[in-house]
Amino acid sequence: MKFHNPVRNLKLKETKTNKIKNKYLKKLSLELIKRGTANDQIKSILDEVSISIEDYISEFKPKDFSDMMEKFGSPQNFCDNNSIIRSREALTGQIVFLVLTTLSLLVVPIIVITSISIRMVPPSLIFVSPEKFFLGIEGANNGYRFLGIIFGLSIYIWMLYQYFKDKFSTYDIRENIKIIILLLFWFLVVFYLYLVIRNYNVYHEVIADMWNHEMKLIVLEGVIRWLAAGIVLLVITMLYTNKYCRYYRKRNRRKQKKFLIDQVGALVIVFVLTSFTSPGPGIGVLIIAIAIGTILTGKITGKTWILGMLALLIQLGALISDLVAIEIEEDIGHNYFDRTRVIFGIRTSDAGNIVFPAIIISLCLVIIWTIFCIRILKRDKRQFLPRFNLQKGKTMFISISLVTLALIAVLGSQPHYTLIAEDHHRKVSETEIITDLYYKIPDKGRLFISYYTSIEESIDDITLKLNGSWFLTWKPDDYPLTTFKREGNFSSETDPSYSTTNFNCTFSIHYLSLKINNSGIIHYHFTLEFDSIIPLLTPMFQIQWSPIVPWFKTWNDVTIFISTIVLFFLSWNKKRNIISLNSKKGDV
Amino acid sequence: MPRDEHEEEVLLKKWRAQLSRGILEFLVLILLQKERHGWDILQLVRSLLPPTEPPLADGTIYNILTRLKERELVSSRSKIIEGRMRRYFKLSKKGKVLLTEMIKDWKSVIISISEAEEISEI
Repeated sequence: MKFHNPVRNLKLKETKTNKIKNKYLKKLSLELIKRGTANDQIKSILDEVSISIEDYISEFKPKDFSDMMEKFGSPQNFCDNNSIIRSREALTGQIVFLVLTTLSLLVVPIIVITSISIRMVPPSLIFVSPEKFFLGIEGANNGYRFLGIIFGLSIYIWMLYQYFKDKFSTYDIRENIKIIILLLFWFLVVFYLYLVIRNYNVYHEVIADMWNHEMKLIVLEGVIRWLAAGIVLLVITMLYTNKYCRYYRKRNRRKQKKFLIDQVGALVIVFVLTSFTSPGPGIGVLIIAIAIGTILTGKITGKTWILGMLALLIQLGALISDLVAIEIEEDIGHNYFDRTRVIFGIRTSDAGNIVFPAIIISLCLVIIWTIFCIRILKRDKRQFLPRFNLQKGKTMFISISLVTLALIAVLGSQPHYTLIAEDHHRKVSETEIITDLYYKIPDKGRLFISYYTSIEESIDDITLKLNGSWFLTWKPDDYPLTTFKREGNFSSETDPSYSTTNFNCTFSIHYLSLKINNSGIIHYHFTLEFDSIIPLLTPMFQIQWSPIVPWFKTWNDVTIFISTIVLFFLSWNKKRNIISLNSKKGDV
Repeated sequence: MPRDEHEEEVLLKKWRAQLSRGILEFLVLILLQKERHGWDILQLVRSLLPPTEPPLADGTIYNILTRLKERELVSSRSKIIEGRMRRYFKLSKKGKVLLTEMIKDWKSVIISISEAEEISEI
């Protein structure tokens, strides 16, 4: 016996109607794209036709989709009847738009995968202690640059969402971009979790050793950074997922009200201002691409102009201070010092020759950016200067919390270590090496000096007999009288302390750690005799400097912090609105 | 069929299609001076306009009704007759004002065409 359920039947009918409507509109959107119709027009046509279809179906009740196509007319027929003609030029425009859209989405996995591949390269910094070996502070310091990438990309995806939010009708086939954006957010979350688990799993011994070697602050800062970046990422992802589930799935035709995900805009300030000077591979280039896109689409506001200017000026300031530092270091005449610099978000291995051209490029970009922005702002009659704007309670709380976490994750005393020198000796065929090494140390901190050698042999049956002595002198810049000297002999016998594979082991020859309270010059001398039957040794000398620096040490950190806070309370309105308001007041 | 005749035929078809599409909205407004339901409007429009290639689909005419409704030129009400919902459309006040203007324009176009014919007669 069958029971008649009117509510169920009505729901089934509604589902069927919606299915027919959505299928028809998807086909229509595809046809409109093929004909090169402008995006705004596609949106209005689809929204209008959706109402027509609803009315039509409720009145004429087509049996199925093919019946609907026959009676209501196919999308091709609809376009022909409404004089929507195919234009080759307009179609080219649509193809370009689709290609750019695809590229803008592909950028995220490309940067992430590139970063993973960089990450997968075994760390070049082998940190060998007499008792234990370290796999490098890089791993233990929790890969700060990847936090920059994760944070930057999450904000980039948010910007994509803002761009595509109201771009298409909900019936447009391209509306699926919102699902892709959702997947990208979760892809980043997975990537983030992978990095956290990997770092703390692979390097747990290193982290423990760092903790025991007076590097507690670095470990703690690393943990805080991971947490801060993770919370920012998860909050944004959850907000978006929530919005997607609540609004998009219902395909609500009414205008969507503002949701908390839309208020994450404050983070864009941190993203743009840190993009050039923070070492996030690809992020700086991404910002330049976004800036070009903004100029081309003419969607420039006073805020965009000031944000771009500030980012470029911060880069310019950082470059000028780099130039000064490099000149000073070159005057001292040492061969080895840290020449790595972050220029437009890219870490360069030898910045000596790049800094000056980069200053010129930055200056040119400031001028070009300003000229373009001023022209567009004047054309659109938009405000150049901002006005004070206090946001509403809940929005303000969430924004300030997220901005603070983002600043913790991205700013601060990074990097925590600097490889001052890394020197491969030539393959040693003679049995004695006498070397004098001088290095300039830029600031107070802790020095880790490591001298080791790799041998391409299995660990078994190898002993390396060493004879010789070493001494180390430290000459501070400001207080030459506080010079100190340490000396000692090499141990007569060294056991292999680390092996990367069965056929390659690393011997620690000498390891030393000392605290310095100022900038200065370190001189390391050693005389080493190998009483060894092993030919072709490749001794490697490494000196790493872990600066003890407070947060917001650099002026650009301070600038970014202050700019973010100030910009958070400012807003830009259209000039036109102000005039109309004034004229209304005058009329009264 | 000779090539010239074929070209003429194509041009004529094109012109008729353009004319039909051009006056479609105007025609619907004229018809809606009296309250009519959707099906009625579809049939009347088809019978009044010259046949076009491609033929005028229901969707095209129905979309015009939606557009007119969105612009508040037409009002609509729904009524269930014999278990089927029927939607009735009628010209609104705003629509009447617009239609009056459109009729004036149309009349002046007809006059212009007559004048053009007169001055071109040999």
